[in-house]
Amino acid sequence: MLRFLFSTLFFIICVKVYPSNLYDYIYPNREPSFSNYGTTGLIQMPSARLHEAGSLALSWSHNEPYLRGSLIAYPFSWLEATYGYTDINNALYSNVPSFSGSQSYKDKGFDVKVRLIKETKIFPSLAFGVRDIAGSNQFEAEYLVASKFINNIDFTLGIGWGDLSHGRYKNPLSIIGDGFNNRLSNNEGGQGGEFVTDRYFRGSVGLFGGMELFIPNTRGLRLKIEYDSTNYLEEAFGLGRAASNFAYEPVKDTESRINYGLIYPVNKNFHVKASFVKGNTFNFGFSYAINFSKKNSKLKKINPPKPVENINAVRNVNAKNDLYYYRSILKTLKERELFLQKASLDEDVVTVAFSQSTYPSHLQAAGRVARVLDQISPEDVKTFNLINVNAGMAMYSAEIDRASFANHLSSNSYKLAARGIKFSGEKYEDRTYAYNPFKPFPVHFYKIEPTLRSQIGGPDGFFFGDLRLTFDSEALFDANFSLSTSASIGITDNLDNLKLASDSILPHVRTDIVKYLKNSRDYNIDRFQFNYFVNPTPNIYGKVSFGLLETMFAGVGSEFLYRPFSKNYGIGAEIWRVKQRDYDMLFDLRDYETTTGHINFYYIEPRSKVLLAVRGGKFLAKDSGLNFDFSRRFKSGFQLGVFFSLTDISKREFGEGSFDKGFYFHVPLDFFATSYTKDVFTYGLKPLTRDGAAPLNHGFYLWGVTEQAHKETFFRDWDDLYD
Amino acid sequence: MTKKLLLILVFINSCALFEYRDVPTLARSIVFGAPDIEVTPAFYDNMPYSFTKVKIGRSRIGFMVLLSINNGVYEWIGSNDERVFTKSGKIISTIGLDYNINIINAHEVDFNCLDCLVNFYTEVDNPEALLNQETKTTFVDNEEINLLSNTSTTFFIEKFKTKKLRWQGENKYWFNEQGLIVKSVQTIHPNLGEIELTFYYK
Repeated sequence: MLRFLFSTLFFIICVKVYPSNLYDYIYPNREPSFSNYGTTGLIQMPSARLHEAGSLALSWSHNEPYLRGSLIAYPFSWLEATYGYTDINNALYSNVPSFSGSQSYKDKGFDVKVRLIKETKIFPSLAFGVRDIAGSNQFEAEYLVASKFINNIDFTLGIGWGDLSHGRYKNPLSIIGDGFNNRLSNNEGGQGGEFVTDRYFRGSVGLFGGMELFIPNTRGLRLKIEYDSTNYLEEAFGLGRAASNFAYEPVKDTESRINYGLIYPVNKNFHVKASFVKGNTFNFGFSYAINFSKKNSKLKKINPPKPVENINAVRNVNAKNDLYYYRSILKTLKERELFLQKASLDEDVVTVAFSQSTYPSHLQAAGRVARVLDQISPEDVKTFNLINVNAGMAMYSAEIDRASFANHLSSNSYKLAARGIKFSGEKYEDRTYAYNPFKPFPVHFYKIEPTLRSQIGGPDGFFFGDLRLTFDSEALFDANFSLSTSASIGITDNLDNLKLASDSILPHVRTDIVKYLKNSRDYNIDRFQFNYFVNPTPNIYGKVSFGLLETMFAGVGSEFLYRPFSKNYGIGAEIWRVKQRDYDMLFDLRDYETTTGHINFYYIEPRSKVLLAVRGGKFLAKDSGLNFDFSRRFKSGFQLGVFFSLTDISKREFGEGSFDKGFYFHVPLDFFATSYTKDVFTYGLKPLTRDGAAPLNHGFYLWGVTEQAHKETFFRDWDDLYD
Repeated sequence: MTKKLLLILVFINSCALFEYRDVPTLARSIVFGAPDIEVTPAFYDNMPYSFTKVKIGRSRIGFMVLLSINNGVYEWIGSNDERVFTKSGKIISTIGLDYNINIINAHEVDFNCLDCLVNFYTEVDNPEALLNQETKTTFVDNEEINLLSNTSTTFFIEKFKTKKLRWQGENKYWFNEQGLIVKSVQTIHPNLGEIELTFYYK
């Protein structure tokens, strides 16, 4: 402890104060770094630092006997959520060789950290966190921690419970009640996968602290020193065979409570690190963090608005004949990947129904249509009435005052231009159109891309992957009627040793995943779904679908959605009669069949823009209950979400994990592309595949199809109007 | 048989296009750098204005045309409205780049004052700061470089140093026999790679 205090004093003396405007150059890359436990922190200890909202990070560390990989997400600037796997190398996955062979123990963990107070000039940042929440509790700990920058040193001081309680000080919360003095052991109070709230912040406490010293003019190199309050012998299988008959040797005991580490930011996003902990163990690791909240301003798009040539001549010709005008709109929009569906000129108002699948920002698409119309429309056209069409349904109507739009274009004064634009809901075909261009149905879109099917963290092995070439296609037979197909062929996989059989006592609607994976290795069809969309009145949308609806079920059903354009909620319903698909994922069906359906409620919280989706009804395994999904979409299109379900089956019937839960994120590929694209990379993970609370994953959920049928879609993107 | 036909239909329906448009281009430019663009006599003849070929770091390359000359300051403009202002070939101001600068005392740029110590006060953005840059320019040699044809040049090196950032380096300038800058390689911002400018006059 004395050595630690001495080191702290030494670095305080060495601190040099620089003018504030040079600070960012002398100490670049000051983003928070990650501890070996996968949360932002010092070396082993957590700090009160968090990355910005909309960040996503990956952290990996080799911290003998543990290898730990974590995925860290920041839905808000005050919330850090971490999901990680720890490879525990002093224990076996199980003591049954026929079940898990010689595979080492794998622990799944979920951590959260909440910032309570943001750092000010005087006060430190204050946060609390819970480690290994709702998991197997191998590394369970809670903490309250403060961090404060003083010049180029970030100091951290905290109090820890559970695994962070070395020192065994009396719990200060015991003044609230004696119950805080005692903590259940890790094996008590739950079956894993549950929130065991009556264990949190209980028992004795430990104190920890340290600092992160930013070394000047070294591209952000940092030295870390900390006082470590981890009970190494008590976490996971620290005591070896004495802790569990899965374990075979104890971990090294602590020789020193002072840990030292170095972090080197290769760039703003990528950090490498090395440390010496416990006085006897070298560690190393890396992390990569990226912020997706805003558009990637460093990547310039290659398709800026393209001006129309000879606009005066074009306007003059268009003024002479309406048909010339309509054809001019059709041609000019098509050159910009905007597709005219119908058009009509009524005195000084031109109404244009268009569709598009290029621009991720719907306001940008509307802005580009208006820009074209402004250039080619005769002078006496004063108002542009744009109707966006998707799947044969009207999404919105935008009434744009031409003069206002044109006046603010050169100065990009989109806020002023917004006053001249009125958005509302719309029903397609509600009005008579003078121009209805020929559409060469059927039309067909397709793409081929590599995809990866994976199975992580099972007893047969940590990672099983199946790299495939996937053919996605969509055939439109009519504006409303389409066939969506996704089929793939296997390139390479390591599925041979994957053999885990289902132990579920429910109908095997999901847990036969291994059979599906292994029997569809050569080629399969994920989806072969016919869809018919209807838009009977403004704000009401419907879909009837049939075919191979998802990887494990085929059938027929329907979904309806009421989504008022100017409100922040939607209500829908869906019902499906489905039959289980055969394991080869082609056209054969198995005997199991059921009817599944839900009432769906959606609500967008106006301040945080968090979308809450609640689905209540009957799931595939015939259990009934509710599914809750919370997600937040950022300006760039990046979306983070978590979900959980509660149904009428018991925890025992559900099996390991106790209840259905998971997370997902969508990364817009537009963020990395030089041309506009609506494609997204989606990743979702459930800690365990179980049969309970399993919904049908049919394609084209109406809430997603009608994304732009909502005012908020435009209000968040006003700055894209002239983009 | 019907199933097999359907399956064949699915695959035939789907194949034909590999749509990873940007990934190979981006990856190539990051790993190997952007491919150079050669300025041929035909290319030069087709350009109506004086222009400069700009290479920033390894992965960005393009052209800017001469927009104006005002009191010895040349203003060059790029296709996305980026602006670079040069005086005697030295970049004294930029607009629209990822990282921009503006030398406050640009009037002190003078290649006639060899071995003189000149302090330039440079505003930089992203993040914003004011840097004090000590410079010293020295004559190196007469060199022949190949542009559209072999060109005799005078080659200068400007050493610069910003003590507080421990940032230092060399900027290189080649002037033709008329005293016009024909090529330069400069580092103008701590976070931006080297900028290579090759000038073509009309």
